[in-house]
Amino acid sequence: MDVREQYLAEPYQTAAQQREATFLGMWVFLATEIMMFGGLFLVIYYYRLQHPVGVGEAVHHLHSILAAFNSALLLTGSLCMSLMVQASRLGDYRRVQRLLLLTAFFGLAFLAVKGFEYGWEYREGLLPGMGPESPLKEPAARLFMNIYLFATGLHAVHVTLGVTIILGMVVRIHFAHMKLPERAITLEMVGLYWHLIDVIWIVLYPSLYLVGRAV
Amino acid sequence: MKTRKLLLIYAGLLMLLAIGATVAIQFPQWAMLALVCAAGQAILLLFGLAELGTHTPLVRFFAFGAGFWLVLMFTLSIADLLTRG
Repeated sequence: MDVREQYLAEPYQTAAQQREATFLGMWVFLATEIMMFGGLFLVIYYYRLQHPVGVGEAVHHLHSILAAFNSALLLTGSLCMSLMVQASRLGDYRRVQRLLLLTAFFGLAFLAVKGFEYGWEYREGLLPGMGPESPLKEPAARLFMNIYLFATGLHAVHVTLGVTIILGMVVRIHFAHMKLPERAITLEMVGLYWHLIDVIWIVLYPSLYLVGRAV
Repeated sequence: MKTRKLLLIYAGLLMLLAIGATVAIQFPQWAMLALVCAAGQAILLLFGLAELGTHTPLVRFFAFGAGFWLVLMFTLSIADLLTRG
């Protein structure tokens, strides 16, 4: 018998039943996240169609190469997460911890670059607040920057949550509160959450930074 | 999943990112291609790294349900804007 099947929680009679219920629950949660961000994407594209000139002006000021670097950081984090799931199924504690820490590092690096980018944009007067006068002439461009701030800020909150959960897992494994590979499914769920954060950024990046640049 | 396969998927993701970003920055008139690349990346990540294809049909049904919601929401909202000239 697969050692992962030895861990069986209270309401379940078989490991397969438990596994399916766990994945189903997680995907229902992820679906609600997709629905929330979906509303935001709709706002972005509806606004783009209504105000192409203003959006073009705002997009021209965004730091698209820095954001591309950030995308690469998140994608590398996702690779580490998949390698971690693979190691957790084999019960390799040291490798799991190392890969979790590496994923958290890439998540924190993403947040650091994002913070630097926000600071840069604030000093340029692109973000709302009491900073210098905005170089954006069109009111629609200034409102697009509000949408940009809200969308990327909400995503950054999710990355922060993801990093916190990952570090929590490292601590649990360190104090032997998580037996592997029996509890590998818990780490698989963390992996799914991280991949979703990555997918959201993959779509946010061209939607905010790339499409609509002036020719 | 084998490490080699994961690394290949990762290389594919980075390649699509590079293509999308380069085309959109160098040739802004083709910037929509970046969205096609992003869709490719999302599919590669969901089916490659998140292993969505290995789940049971019920789990996949719920996952695709979220996608259906997006299609419905975008179609209803954008269709109105696009068809009223």
